[in-house]
Amino acid sequence: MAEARDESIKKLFDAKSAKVDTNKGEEYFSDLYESCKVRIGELKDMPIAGRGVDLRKALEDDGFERRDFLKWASATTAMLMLPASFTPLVAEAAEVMNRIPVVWIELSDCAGNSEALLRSDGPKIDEIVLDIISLEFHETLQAAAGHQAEKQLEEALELFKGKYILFVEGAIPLGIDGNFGTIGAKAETFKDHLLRLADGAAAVIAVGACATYGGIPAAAPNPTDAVGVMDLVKGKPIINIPACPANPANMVGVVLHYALTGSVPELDSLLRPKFAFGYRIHDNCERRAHFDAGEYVEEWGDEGAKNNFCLYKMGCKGPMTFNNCSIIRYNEAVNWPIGVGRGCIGCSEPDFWDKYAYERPMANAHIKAPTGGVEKTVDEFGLGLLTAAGIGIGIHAAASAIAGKKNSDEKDV
Amino acid sequence: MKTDYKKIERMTPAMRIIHWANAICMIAAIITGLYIAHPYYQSFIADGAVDKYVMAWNRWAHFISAIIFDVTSIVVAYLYFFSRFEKPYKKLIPNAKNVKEFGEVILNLLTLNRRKRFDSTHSDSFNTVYFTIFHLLLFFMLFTGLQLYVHGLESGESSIGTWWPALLHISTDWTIPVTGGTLMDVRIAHHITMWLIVVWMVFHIYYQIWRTIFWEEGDIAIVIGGSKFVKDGK
Amino acid sequence: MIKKDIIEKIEGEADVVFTQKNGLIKDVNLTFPYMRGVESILEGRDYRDALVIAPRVCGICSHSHLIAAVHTIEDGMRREKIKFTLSDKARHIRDFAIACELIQNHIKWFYLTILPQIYKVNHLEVPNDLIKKASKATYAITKAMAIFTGQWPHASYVVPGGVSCDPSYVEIMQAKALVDEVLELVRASLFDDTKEIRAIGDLHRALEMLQRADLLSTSHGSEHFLALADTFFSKSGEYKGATRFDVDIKKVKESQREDSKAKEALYGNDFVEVGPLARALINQDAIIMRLQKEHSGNIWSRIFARVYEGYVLLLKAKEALESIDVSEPSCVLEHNKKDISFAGIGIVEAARGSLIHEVVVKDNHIHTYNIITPSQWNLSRGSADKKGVARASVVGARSKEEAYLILRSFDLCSVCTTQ
Repeated sequence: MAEARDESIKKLFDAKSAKVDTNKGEEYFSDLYESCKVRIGELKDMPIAGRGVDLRKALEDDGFERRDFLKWASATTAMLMLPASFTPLVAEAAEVMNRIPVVWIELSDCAGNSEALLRSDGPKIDEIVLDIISLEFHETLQAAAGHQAEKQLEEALELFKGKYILFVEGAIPLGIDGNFGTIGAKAETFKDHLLRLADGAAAVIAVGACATYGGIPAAAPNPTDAVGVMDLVKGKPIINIPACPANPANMVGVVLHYALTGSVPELDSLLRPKFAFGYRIHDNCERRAHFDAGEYVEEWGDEGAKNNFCLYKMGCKGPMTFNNCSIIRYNEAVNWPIGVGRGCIGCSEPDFWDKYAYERPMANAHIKAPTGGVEKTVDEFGLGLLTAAGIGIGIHAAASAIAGKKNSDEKDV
Repeated sequence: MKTDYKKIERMTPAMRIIHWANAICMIAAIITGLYIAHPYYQSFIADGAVDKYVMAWNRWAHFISAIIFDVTSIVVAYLYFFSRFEKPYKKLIPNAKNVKEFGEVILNLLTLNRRKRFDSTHSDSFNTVYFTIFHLLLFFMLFTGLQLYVHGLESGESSIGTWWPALLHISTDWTIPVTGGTLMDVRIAHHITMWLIVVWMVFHIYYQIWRTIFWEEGDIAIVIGGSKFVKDGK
Repeated sequence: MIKKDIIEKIEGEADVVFTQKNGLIKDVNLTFPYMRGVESILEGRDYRDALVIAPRVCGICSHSHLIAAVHTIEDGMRREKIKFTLSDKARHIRDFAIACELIQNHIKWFYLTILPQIYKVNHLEVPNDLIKKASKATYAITKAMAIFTGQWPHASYVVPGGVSCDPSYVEIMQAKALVDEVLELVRASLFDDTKEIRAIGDLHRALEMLQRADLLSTSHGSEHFLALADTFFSKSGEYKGATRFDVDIKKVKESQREDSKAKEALYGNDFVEVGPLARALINQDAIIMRLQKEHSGNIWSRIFARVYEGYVLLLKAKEALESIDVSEPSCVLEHNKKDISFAGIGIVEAARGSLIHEVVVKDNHIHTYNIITPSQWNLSRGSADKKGVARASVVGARSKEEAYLILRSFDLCSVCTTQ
């Protein structure tokens, strides 16, 4: 813990954390372009890892035309904050993504991110592109079970040592020596399992709020002493893709960026890719005009709600939350929470489960968690303080009024 | 019996302007800040959104008063050390003289003016410490506030150039870990500090009035005319 | 000879230890070496926090948990005479979303869990396109759902007294088109409903393979069924010895096992089966009743009942959409009380069976929160004489793969079992 604190103090004056620099100059991008080309060439020469699904064929099978794919590629290029000239490279990178081995593990979680990623969510081409990444191991998804699955995992770890990307879903419980969560026949704790797998990984990607910050399992009183990946894994590139569930488009973005450049995308101080978490929900919200106008939903189902007014007074946490879901939305971009008149809960921010609270206005919410916090609202606390000061002043004034007069009388005599 | 009074200068015109600028900004910031935290009045539904702009105006007023605060803070910080009139930092050094004076002023307040063994012709140590607390609260307010403000400048661009958001990040990013690790903590800290400042203000006004009544030296006039009167011979 | 084995291919993970005797499975022990403690996390929070935290118990049935949570609050309010009116519109929207989640669960379970296992029992290679087949339908149905819920999983569009969304006709039409899309897929590869309901395509293939593996002649079922919630698509009841009884929620019991992080659920003193088969029998569905009689509660009736429920729900989902009157209010909650105290219970029928949430709220804060999940019913272990439902049904299985198939027909879900 002390180490973590030191580190956070070191970061105190780190200015590069939040700034999103979209224009790094022509020279930078032309250098990047060349290095990406080389990288893709290298990948092309590499053997296809795992199942070896061909993207072109997969797209054809699903009735997508080349034009649809290029449209997707240009949208993805924009999402990754690259100039439009990178579009053909992004398309190529998507085609060679099946050279990158991926291992996906689930720890203390609800399987929600796997659900979001693999079966139910995301713009369709994202899905297919993800489908072709060579998922070497995925507990929920793969066909093998038991010893057979463990064997497959071990083989994959050996074969792709130092090359695979490790996706982690779920928090890591540290309580009772990690025995709140164990895996496999040898009852390896989640912590040991993660550290062992991270050791041979090229990069570790924490998917969802649980893997990133501990998530709901870490909510007060944190019964299992759950933590996120970045609290445990050291010395490896870590990329956090928080949110509950994490948006598949952002997972694709990260893998694609890795395929394209061989490096992790630019990250903020919470290790989130800036292309996805560089902007506030609030600043790209469809209801922003109503915020500025002072038009708010006052209670569920009122006139304001019918007119799609701003949800700020219902406790929307959009102004405090960095995420791109106001742009890319969920479930094939069909909608997002604010679109159905429900405020943002800040699920991509640390401690959202305790500090961002539920749909109550921030100013009069019981913001702190049930344990270890002020149970009063901030304003009640402030008003209490003011009252205390007022009472003190009142007593002093009254005492002065009585005592002070006598004093001056004496002087005058 | 007639007492002779001597007029002494306590605040320069510049100090008085700063005082009232701060006072007005503070009231404006509190009124608008409370609205930003929780919009407590509703706008007329019938008007078009573009005509109302209520939150936007509130935020505008809040930021403008914050910027004025910024500037006066810099001036005040300068005056602490380089004022040709009175250098407050000298009263902050915890030497025997200042500590004794600090205690005496508190005793004076607690004994309801039964005991007054310090020189009230200049700003005393207690007063200076009390004002310093205010300025520290204000600095914290400015840093947390600017941190909250810079969230909206995530592109790194602003109407006055890229240096401004960059400067804001360099100077305010530390508030996130210091307040508790999330943007919400920064916000709560900003909100609580507002209440501390309100409490500070309430005591400040009371104390100035109390001194005026009990010391009988016309202290309340300082902030308007710049001077007070002490009994001659002191 | 005792042989140990581990099963992992269930959503989340559970340890499975089989005991074999003379080549037949004699007993099975399921343990869940994993927990998060969501119930204790909920305690002490504002009761409305349950609407955000409870769905996150499970990413697979998140919407059922959301509805159960809102039911507990509404039930408590009703008991305390706190006034709210749930409009028909809000009810239909909730029902539609419930149907969507069940449909996608059923389809996914069939294609990704049960069908591959049937292939394996037959020593056949699992076809590659099952994921694709399942995802086509589940994309569409979750998309339809998200029109009203904002996202899936972990939607938060429900509030006490209604829903927060206010859909337009265009959105309803969009959802309807998506439901039709799924219905078309189901009609192409699972059911022929032109004259009478008949299994075709993949579902028929499943039946053939079960026949070939000789799994239709032996019984792998229970005789005691339970559905606790009255919903828009099914009635509550207890089904025992071919007779239906009314349910009494007071008979639900819960106990903690020592070696596992899961709790057991009993009805009276019995272990009961919950889920689509239970619902169909309690509702006296003619098709399932006939199947149950023909195959005396074997694995096929459980599989068919679940897929068939998906089909029925598609029709119900369409009905719900058609009944939405957009001019009605979305949410009507008339109480202005600041601090409320209540005790409430919320029961829903989730994909795998009855799900119960129970809450005691004191001055707006959750005092206790208790969750009983469907898998707790089916996976209760019991004792050697009185085995839990899934455990009992595995006895006599001729191979490990066969035992897995039987276990999976209940669809073990350890995620919410251990919370």
